[in-house]
Amino acid sequence: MNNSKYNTQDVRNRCEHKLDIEFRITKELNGWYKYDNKKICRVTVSKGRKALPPKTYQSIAEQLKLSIDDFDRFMDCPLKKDEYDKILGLT
Amino acid sequence: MPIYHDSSTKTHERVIIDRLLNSSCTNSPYLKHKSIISSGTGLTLLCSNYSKIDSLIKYKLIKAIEITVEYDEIHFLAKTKTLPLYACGESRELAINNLKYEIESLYEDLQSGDDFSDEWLKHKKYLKSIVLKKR
Repeated sequence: MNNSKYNTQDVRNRCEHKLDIEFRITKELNGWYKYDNKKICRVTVSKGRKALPPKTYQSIAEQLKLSIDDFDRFMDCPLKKDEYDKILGLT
Repeated sequence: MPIYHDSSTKTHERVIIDRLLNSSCTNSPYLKHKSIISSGTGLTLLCSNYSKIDSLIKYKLIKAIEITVEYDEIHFLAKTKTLPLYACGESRELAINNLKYEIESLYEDLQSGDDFSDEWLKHKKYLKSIVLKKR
């Protein structure tokens, strides 16, 4: 589990850049991952740059319906959507 | 005030018991039977990770929502058992209170339309059946 490498701001950035999640700022940040115009996952991230202890990290992974290993990979990969599109030759 | 078998043991456990008894956020049935905590078993039960939320901030709850609260290195982490929600707080009470905001936030999100997956539509139905507006 790579929770110690990241903070809440990193999770927010990954979600925004890789999954196009738009966060709504309330008490915390809440955002929906949409696919085919349907809301599939709802993720909550604390505001600011807060540490991510293991159970909190796991809770975010669960909200995104990812295993810890997959969430680690999601976080580890610095690839952003526009770079991804470029690699695919879309832009 | 609760009765302790050994009043000389004013320890961490006793502080925890006092905080739990004074907490308005927890709804453990054991809190209603304060004498139970004079036994060691009571202490174990009181310190359980399981609890219930029976009221929200802006809304009423017809049925309590089961939750777990655990310490997670730097803060307390409260999670609902039936909904994919969590919240953190510096204390157990704050984590539970923040989870109440999360439940309300989800409830309001789900009222905004029907463009949800089947799983979320089930959650919407469930919340609609237990959440009422306060008058």
